[in-house]
Amino acid sequence: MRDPRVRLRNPVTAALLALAIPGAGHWYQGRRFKATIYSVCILTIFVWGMILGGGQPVYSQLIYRSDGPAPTAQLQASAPRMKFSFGYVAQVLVGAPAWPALVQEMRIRNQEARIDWIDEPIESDFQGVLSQSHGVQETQIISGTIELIPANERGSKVATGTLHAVFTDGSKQDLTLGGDVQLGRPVFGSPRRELRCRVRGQDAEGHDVSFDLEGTVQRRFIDWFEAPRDTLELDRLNGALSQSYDIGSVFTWIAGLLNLLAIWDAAEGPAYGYGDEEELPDDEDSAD
Amino acid sequence: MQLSAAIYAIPLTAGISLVYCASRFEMPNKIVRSAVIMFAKTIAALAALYLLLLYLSR
Repeated sequence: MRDPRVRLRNPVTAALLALAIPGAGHWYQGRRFKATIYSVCILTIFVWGMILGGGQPVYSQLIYRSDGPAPTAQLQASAPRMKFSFGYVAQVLVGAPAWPALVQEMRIRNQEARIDWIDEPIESDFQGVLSQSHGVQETQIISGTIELIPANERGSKVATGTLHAVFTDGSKQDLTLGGDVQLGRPVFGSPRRELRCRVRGQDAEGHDVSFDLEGTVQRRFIDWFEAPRDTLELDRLNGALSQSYDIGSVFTWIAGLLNLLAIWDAAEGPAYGYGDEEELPDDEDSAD
Repeated sequence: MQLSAAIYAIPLTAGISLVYCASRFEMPNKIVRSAVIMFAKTIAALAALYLLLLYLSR
């Protein structure tokens, strides 16, 4: 039975506020001490989980590559096949911090990705491989910076630019970009955006040769944060972060589930009572 | 590496204890006291489990 000393104001409003931001419902009810406990504890656990998981434990959908010529889900132009992530059921309970995942899901569903189109210049670091197109197949790992400019100001399938490449042996070479370009989907749950195009450079004997370039450039934060991703990205995260990614995911689940207790408390009041019932001789065990 | 992962359990348990006890009671003193007891019991149980697993894996 609800204790009359607990002032709930409008319980539905309080519950909705608690669902939006941990502790907001209690703040609205004037229960400031509990509001502070809920917001500090729940948001700290959530943010801690996000940090452990490299900022990527929250996502609502897992993307699978549909049948077709695209080698990866990022480079698939048609609408991707998506499967709900059950962990998100717990994460979404933490409220506003997990809502961007729903926005990102809608952006992907409503987006016809033009993977063979570059609409604005790109300047980014680059990581990838360089393969020789003719003669003996030779692949080299490279990093560096890239400047990619569409052939037309309003966007183009063709790009020009320069790759300032650094090879694994420390040698450097500026490679000229040219020809058709393939870019990964703009919105995708990976900070790295796939890029494939042709480049021109010189081989060891100084002859002009063409190479196939495959790699990744940076994706904007608002385009990857909490966005649906594929299993390749999850494999990369597990490889890079090891158990930290799993621990971070569990922390975000726990934060959401704890907020369920806060929502319930905002709507119905404390489960066991006000807290001074232990003074009655028969109710001493009620605290446990 | 294993130890560092286990260390995460301490602040996590503190947070869970506070939130759980806040949802049970209204009085600040009662919330804090119950949370401290719950935290101590949980850490003791986890430590016992850890020691048992350590002994079994020798």
